[in-house]
Amino acid sequence: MSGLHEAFDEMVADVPAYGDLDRAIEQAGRERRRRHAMAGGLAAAAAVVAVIVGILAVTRGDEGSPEPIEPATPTPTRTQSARTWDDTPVRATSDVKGWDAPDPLDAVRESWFPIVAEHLAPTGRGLARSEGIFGASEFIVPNASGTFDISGRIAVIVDRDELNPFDDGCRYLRADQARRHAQDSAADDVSCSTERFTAPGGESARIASWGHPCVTDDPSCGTYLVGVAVERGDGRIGYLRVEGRGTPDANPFPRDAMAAAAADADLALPGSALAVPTDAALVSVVEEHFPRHRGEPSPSPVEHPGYAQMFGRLGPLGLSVQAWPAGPTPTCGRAWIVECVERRVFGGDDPTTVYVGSWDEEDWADCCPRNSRAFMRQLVHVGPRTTVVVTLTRIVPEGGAGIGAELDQRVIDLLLDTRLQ
Amino acid sequence: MDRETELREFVSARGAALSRAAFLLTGDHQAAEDLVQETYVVLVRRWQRSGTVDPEAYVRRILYSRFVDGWRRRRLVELPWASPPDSTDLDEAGATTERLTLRDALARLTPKQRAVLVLRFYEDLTETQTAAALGISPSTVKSQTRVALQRLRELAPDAVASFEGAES
Repeated sequence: MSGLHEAFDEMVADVPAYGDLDRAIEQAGRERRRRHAMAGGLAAAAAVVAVIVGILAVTRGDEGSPEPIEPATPTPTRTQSARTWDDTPVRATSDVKGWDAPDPLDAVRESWFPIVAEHLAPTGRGLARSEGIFGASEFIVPNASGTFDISGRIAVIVDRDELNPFDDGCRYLRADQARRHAQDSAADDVSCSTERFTAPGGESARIASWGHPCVTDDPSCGTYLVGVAVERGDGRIGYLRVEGRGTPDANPFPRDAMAAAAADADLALPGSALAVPTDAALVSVVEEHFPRHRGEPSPSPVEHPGYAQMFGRLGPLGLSVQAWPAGPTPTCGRAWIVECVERRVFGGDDPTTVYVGSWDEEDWADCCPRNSRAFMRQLVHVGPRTTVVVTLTRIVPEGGAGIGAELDQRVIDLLLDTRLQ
Repeated sequence: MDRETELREFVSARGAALSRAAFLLTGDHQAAEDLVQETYVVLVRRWQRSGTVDPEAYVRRILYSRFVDGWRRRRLVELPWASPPDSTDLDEAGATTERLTLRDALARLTPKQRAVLVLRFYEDLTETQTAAALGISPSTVKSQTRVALQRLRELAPDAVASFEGAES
């Protein structure tokens, strides 16, 4: 369809060259230094909670590393052995790649949407719930005239000792932006202002407005974030963040309406959310089980109780761990499945179940390495209080081995660690 | 030539083409700028680690996979229309009478459909090369191309009619 090529050529005739290589080099250098610092034991600063279950993206780029995986480590919290495992095959009934393990807090967060919509609706803009993601409730304002909608995020924050939008204002927004986008949030053309004010209900509140312009001359071109945080009567921080196109002035929601929404006491979480460990606690336990694990920055904002995650590497493998309140039994996903089993890891008098599965995505790429596949091994334990998911990933070259069961026992030790429950 | 000079020469030679592809994918100057900048950061990381990467294939892989897989995470949500808008008037034949530009119609495809069209018909890659760039199978490329072209015909019949006829 050569005509389509010409039509595309016309569309891009005026497109300037984007991107700034110098900024990219600086940012990559900063990230490298930060990773080294984290590997040296400063990972606890990463803290709180985040969104998005990263899987293969975490492992890209380091494939084929010759580093050894891991020496033997101590700290099994309970005796269990491959000799006593009893595996039962599980049928794949879900469409996903991996175990589909429900988070019971999803329904709670969904219930926040109408509460916030009621506070914001007088602006006349139609809110719609967007696809749920871990750790927060999200909504969009559909944009009929453009490609991108305005999006919003609702959160309740507990950990005031961590970086948070009420105490840290712009610093929090910059960190949020830098985590979610591989973007230099400290660049010269980025602006951010913050101001304290009193919410309509009398609560102490803070607004922070962040903007990043385009390289084009169009003044309306850019990205903005506006975050309003309110110190509520229950001591928690209610938080509402809006992201859209243009400058912060384009945010359609009045400051007071955002503050009233964030202050609403009905934005609440059950006690089970607080039982989930923090990101820092999760990292600490993982490092004890896998001392050679190297942490990597989370690609998402950190702000919420009820969900914890960590990302990192273990030699050539990607290693990520997520935790949320205990929910229903996981179901096996059929996309690229190799096998799923339900594994009894203790004896008959004390049955404890771990769900183990492997997925092998063919045709991953024809380069880097050539004809590679994306292999994933995922183990899940639904404990008395917390569901814990450990995911190992590896980009496998043509003819290369996937991920075997060699690490299963140590991963199961991690899953059953009582500090995660 | 030192490694940084090589990197700068590569970006200098390919930056404009990457920017144009990013704009076709995102349909938005700001989003395209963000996507290219993110791609450069990932490319620099890889460049600093190893000199064995094929930069052309690697940078394409970064750009397109970040667009398809990463854009959803940014919460810059595409209009969630899986079929032509149902609120528009219908003519006697039952076809939508809304006429969109090609750019508007592209914006209403899924990220993967847009990526497939740009790789196949702007970058002129084969189905196999497109599959490699997106990390999907050639059969998925084939089916996504078919669906995407059909959607373009539905959404922007005038625009498509102006260049259709030489379909390969």
